[in-house]
Order: sequence, then structure tokens, then C-alpha cells
Amino acid sequence: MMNKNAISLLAAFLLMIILSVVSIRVGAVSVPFKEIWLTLQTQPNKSFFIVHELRMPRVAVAILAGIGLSVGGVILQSVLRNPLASPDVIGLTKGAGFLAAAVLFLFPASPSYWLPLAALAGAFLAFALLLLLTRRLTLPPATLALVGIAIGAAFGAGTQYLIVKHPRDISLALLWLAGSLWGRNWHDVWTLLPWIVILLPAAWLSFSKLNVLQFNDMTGASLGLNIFRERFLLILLAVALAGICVSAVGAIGFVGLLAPHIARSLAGPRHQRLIPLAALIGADLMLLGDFLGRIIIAPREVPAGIMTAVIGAPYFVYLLRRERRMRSTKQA
Amino acid sequence: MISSSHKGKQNRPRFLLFLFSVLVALLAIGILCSLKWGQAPVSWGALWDAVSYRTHDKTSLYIQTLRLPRALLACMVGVQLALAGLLTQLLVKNPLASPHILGINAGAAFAVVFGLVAFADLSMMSTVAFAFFGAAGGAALVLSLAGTSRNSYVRMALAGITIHFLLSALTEGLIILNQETTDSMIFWLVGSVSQAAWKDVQLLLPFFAAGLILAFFMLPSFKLLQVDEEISIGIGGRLSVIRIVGMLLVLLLAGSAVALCGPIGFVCLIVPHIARSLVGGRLTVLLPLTGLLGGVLLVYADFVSRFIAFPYESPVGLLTSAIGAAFFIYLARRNGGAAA
Repeated sequence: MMNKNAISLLAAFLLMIILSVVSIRVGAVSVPFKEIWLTLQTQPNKSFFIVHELRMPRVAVAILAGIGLSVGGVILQSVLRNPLASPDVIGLTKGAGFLAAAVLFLFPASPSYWLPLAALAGAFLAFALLLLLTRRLTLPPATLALVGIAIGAAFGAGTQYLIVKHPRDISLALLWLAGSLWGRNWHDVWTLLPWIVILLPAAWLSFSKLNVLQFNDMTGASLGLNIFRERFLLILLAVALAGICVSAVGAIGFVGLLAPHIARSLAGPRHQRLIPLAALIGADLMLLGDFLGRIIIAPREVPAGIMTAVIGAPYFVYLLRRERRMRSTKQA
Repeated sequence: MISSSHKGKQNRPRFLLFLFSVLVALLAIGILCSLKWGQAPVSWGALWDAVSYRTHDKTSLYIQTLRLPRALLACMVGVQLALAGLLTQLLVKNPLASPHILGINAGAAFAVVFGLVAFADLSMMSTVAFAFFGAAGGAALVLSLAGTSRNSYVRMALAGITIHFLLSALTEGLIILNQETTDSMIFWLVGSVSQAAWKDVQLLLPFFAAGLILAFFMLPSFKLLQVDEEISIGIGGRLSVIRIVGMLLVLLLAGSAVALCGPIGFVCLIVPHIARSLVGGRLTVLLPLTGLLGGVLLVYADFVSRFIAFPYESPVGLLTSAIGAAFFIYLARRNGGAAA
């Protein structure tokens, strides 16, 4: 078992490296490997600007955001005990999208760092509403998920209102709402990195609680866990991870849903293995989505969020159907 | 669903008569309001002249060609969506089900946007055809994901919302990549009746009529869906046939409504619940009441949505989504305990 786990971790890691290199190499202007190597050694060459200022930060943001979204997804799926839960479904991304759109439309002259802050505030606003409407998360997990869906729908309606009200400058907002890595720079990397560095270990260290919480409440309580407090803290952690990432890359969907699924089918339900693998797979998915989005109709770009949905959804349908079949054969 | 203490009262013919006449009166008042107030003020006299087609000046033309078809279309779409919602809830035995959750709205929306991008000069009729196929595709996807077993309604809601996200991501992608042709789509995507003209009413009318007639004739069969599966098979009902016809009816009602007015959310979820709480589960009463309530709700929602950002129009879908989300939370909190 240990071996298989190590192999899948290694494979996911190698895939990440390969995808990063390919993302830097290929694009509207392709860069030879030699110049990438020179740039990595910070030696001047004619592709230095493209590699160092455009593609490297983009790859870094993709990796970090992929990690954050997928780990947030792992936590939510385990705590809510629902394989279909994810930051999008709980309404976090819609909340982030609503406040981000509000800043884009109502205060178009505001400085650029307002946008991620607003998105983060939106994610937490959605979470606060969820707290308020579910008696501080003490309702059954299924109800939490449903209330999350409704909160997402309400925020979605708010965003649509803003879009309809200001039809002239919707392109930026639509790009953001779909989720895109276009134009990300080192500044974005440096705002994202510390959060991931702090929150990712925090998530990993709570693996034992997650292992218990994915069963029913009784088991957790009998093992001496303060269920409601732990659930609150863990969901807060997931909200922080996902909210930060959404604020950096926009409302990218399906990564937070899909990466945990793939990881679970490879590593099983134990979170000490699941979380690292899900993080790497999330990074892979983001890189892949961004890369495909850049080359598919180059020199124009398809937003990464749309590509992740396009790659993710068919696989997701396959996963769910397989799971259903397995369950029905088990019952029969 | 049915609180037993009210059961006797709910089925009294006098109560029903009262209920229906109040609703018809409300509908008439709603349509009247929607004709009278809007961007341009119209006096009662001018309104009367216009509706009775006696004068032909600018004001009456305005009422005859803009406000009248709009009010009628809102009413028809409301009826169709509400009935589609009721039928979906019957078919999948899931109180949270609605064409919206089943991916029908998002599927139709995606197909229509795709049609407009792929074939620039799409006729109205082929828009409706696209909407049908999209609606059927969305529903098939969600149902195949969620299964139709009765206990899986949280799963269905999540599967539906996931497919909804997928389809709206694809729709957004099409819009971002083809901004020249899709600029006008944004308004439609939220769900709106503000662009209504007589030709829309004319186009919708056959679907409206066919849907109502089919629903009426299928009414005895649909009753079999309310009882246990074993019982209805024992009575001799061919459940699979009934289900297929019911699903086609839902697609007919919801698909044609979405093709014309965009995915107006949540009407289909709320109205059947309100109707059921008023008269209980007796389908002979419930079905017409749901339709009527749907018409009333959408006419009023359309009327109110004109004043959200007066003098600019706001799509009616915004208002219904906002009300619907609140209602959904209420339902989830009430039913969630049983579901977990």
C-alpha cells in the first residue's frame, strides 16, 4: 500500500514539473529549453522577459491556487460527508464573485488590490451566511450543502444583476467570473504563497480529525471530539484556503471538486495520504487547464476556469456513474 | 406535506371556489397593473381605449404592442414553469426537484447560446428546437448522475448544481469568445420577458395549449405517481410510459418557456410548494392551482422587477432567483433533517 501511494505521489509530482516546463515552453511565442534554463539561472537572454515576467508567475499561481482549491475541496467533502461538496457548491465562489463584480462595476477606479480583498471578503460573507442559516453548522451536513447551494444561487443572482446593470464593461468581469490566470505576476505569487504555506500544513495536521469526521457524528463524539467546534474550524480552514485562491485566480470551478475525487480513488480515504496527493493533483489540473486554454485557439485565450470545467466534467460524470454502479452491485 | 388538521377544510368546495376566484382576481389586477405602470405613465382612460382597440395613437400602440404581449407572455411562462415544476416533483418524488435543479434550464440556455454562435441567423423556431435538445440533454445528464431513487434528493440537488455549473461555464465561455454576437444574450440569460412581442406570444401559444391539454388528459395517470410504486403497478398503471410522457411534458413546458424568456429560475420550485400547502396533494385541484399561481407570481414578479432599477429594466429572473433562494433554504432546513 505504502508503495502504491508513494508511486502516485511521485507521478503527480513529476506531472506537475512536466506541465510547468511545457507551460513555460509553449505559448503564443515558444521559448527554447536553453533559454528557459538560462532564465532559471537569471542570466539575461532574449526570452528573459517572457519566461520570467509572464510565464513563470503564471505557472506559480496556477500551482498554488490548484493546491488551495483542492485541499479546500478535500476538507469540505469529508466534513460535509458528501462526495459532491466543493467550494463552488457551498456558494463560496459565488460569494467571492459577487463582491468582486461589485468592486469591478461600482468602483471601477479603485486600486487593483481591492479586487482580491473583495473576493476574499465575499467568500467569508458566504460562509457567515451559511453559519447564520444553519444554526452555526449544527444542522445535518446534507442540509449544510443544500443551504450552501441556495446561498450560491442568491449571490449568483446578485452578480447577474450587476452584469445586467452595467452592460458596457462586462468583459473583464466575465473573464474574472469564469476564472483565468491571464496577466498574473509575481505580486500575485507573493500574496498567495504565505497563505498556502501556513494553511496547507494546518490542513495536513488535522488529518486525524478529518479521518474521524468523515464517519457519522456519533463516532466522532464517542472518540472525544467536540464535533461542532471541529467542524466549524475545519470548514473555516477550507473557506480560507478556497477564498484566498479564488481571490487570486477568479471563480475557477471543478478543481476543488475533481482533484479530491481522483486523489481518493488513488490514495483511499486516509487524509494523511489524501491531502498531499489531492494538492498535487489540483496543481496538475490547474496547469493543464491553463495550458490547454492558452494553446487551443492561440493567440487568443480560453479562460482556465472554462477549460477545467470542460476537462473535469466528463471525468466527473464517469466517476459518479462508476460509483453508482459499484453501489448497486454491492446492494444486489 | 399535508397537515391533517386542515385537510377537511382544504377540500371544501366553497374554500376552493374562494381560492380560485381570489387568484383569478389577483391575476386580472396584476395584468392591469402591468399594463398601467411602467417606464411611461398611462392614464386609465388611455389604457381603456388601448385595450379595447378604439384608438390608434402612440400610447395605445405602445400598450398594444409592448405591454399587453409582455403581460400575457409573463402569465403563460409562469403557468408553464410552475406546471413543469410540479410534474418534476411528482416524477422524481423529490421536494427539491425543479427544472432548474434538473439542469433543464441551464441545458436549454447553453444550447440556445451555442445555436446563436454557430448559426448567426437562427429562426425563432429553431431556437426553440435547440432549447428542447439542450433541456433534454441537461436532464438526462443530471438524472444519470443522481439516479431516481427516492432517498437521493440531496445527491440530486448537488448533481444538478454541478451540471448547472458546468453548463454555465460553457455558456460563459461561448459568450467571452464571441462577444460581438452574444452581447444581447446577457439579458436573456438571466431570464426576462421585457422584450416580449406578439410574435413571441404566438410562438409560445401552441406549446402552452398543447402542454395544458396533455397535462389535463394525463391527470388521472399522474395520480398513480403519488402512490407507492407497488400499488400503482398493482392497479395496472404502466409507470414507465407515464414517466416518459411526464418527462416529455416537462421538457415541452420548460424548454419552450426558456427558449423565449431565458432561464427564469426557481418559479418552478416555489409555486408547487405554495399550492400544496394551500390545498394539499389532491392532483385534480393541485394542478390547476399550481398553474394559476405560477401565472400570478410571474406577472407580479415582472411588474415589480420594472421598479428595481427604475427607469431601467431589470430581468425578472433576478427577482425570482432571490425569492427562490430564500425559499430553497427554508425547504432545505425543513427537509434536511429527514434526509440526513
